[in-house]
Amino acid sequence: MNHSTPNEREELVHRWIDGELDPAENARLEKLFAEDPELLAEAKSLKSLHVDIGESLPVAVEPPYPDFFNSQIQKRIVEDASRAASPVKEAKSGIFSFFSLPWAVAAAALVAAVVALVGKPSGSESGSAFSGLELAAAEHGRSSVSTTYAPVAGVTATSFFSEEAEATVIRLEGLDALDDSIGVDGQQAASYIPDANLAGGTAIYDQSGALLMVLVDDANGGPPTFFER
Amino acid sequence: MQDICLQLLIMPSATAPSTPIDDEPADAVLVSRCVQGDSGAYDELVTRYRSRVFALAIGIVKNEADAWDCSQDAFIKAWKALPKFKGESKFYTWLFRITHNVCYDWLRKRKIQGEDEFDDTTQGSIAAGSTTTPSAADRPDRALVNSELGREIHAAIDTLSEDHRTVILLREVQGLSYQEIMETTGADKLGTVMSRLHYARKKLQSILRNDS
Repeated sequence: MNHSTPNEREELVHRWIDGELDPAENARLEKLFAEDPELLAEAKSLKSLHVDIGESLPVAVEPPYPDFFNSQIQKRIVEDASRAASPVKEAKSGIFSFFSLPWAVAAAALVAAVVALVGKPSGSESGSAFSGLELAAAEHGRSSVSTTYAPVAGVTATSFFSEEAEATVIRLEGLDALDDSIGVDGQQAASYIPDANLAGGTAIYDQSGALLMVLVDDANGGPPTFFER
Repeated sequence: MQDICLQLLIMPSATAPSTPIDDEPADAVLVSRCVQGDSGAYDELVTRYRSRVFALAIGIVKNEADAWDCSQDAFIKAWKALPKFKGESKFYTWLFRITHNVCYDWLRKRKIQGEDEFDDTTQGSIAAGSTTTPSAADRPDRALVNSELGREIHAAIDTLSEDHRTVILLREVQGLSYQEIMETTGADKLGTVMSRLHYARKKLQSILRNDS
């Protein structure tokens, strides 16, 4: 192969970076490097970029809650098989959306404090603290959590629709007892704002916009710290 | 009180997809068992490839929550399509192709819904150190990820078109060959793959030179 044009030489360089050259092409490129220092410099620059990209992006990223990741796939396989036999309309779970949101820990902490966390029905206004919950539309326009998952061993998560509150209630059981010094009450959180000024803190507000509490992550990896208003 | 915390396990960069260790069955064996309806065998395949599929999905959709959902969909689609898998390509190449298609469908739907409605900056606005927002950039053991150059490379890659970003991810990160990239992306010929890769590299090189 004759790599005489700039484009051909460039292609040769890229294939050299990728280890796709045969011995004859390799020899040809070495000769070109010897004849053209600029080409050699360009090749070294691209090779360096190739290495830097490989080192800056992870080849593998374990998804959060890998056991849940697997179990959801198994669950959906079974559901799909059942649906094929007897089609039943069912909403997609998408539960990870819950865990991905910054208020998730705060919401979970509130659950721990008041035992039951009262969420809004599906379709609540944007910006609500609970609007991120993927609530599957159920009968009569009411909401229900399609899937619950508690990552902590011994903790179970259940949910139901409260007629009285006209809201979905998520209940976590099996949590450690709360420290008596923590006086979180049962007020309903309506919004959150991550606050960079608090070095990892998240401010949580009620529906009137009043500050309910601030959640600050422990720098040493311990449990988050709460500051009440 | 329980501390509920999301964490990402960042694995070192490699140049070839993971392969089973000696006492683990080969992909082809597991695939064969899957086709016979053994969902347990598929669970092994999911465990084997979920981290690579998730990494690829994050790279394409640039959002960890949606990458999680896309990865789920990819594995479900792969399970359904397994009876059609002829083994003419490697299992992971085939799985990557499905992942690529699922992610592109997701991107297409996002565009239809209107990009203004989707806040790509969400991750950046989250309080530093939030336990609910796992991020590769938060891992102290990934020096280059946290380095200035690493951040510049991330930013530069984000400016690439979807096709160019994908070919960079598949080649530079996942270590796929030109042939495998062609099979994964559905490109019509090797020349298309090479052209995209060469353009993407030159573009990144140009961006990074201008930044420095």
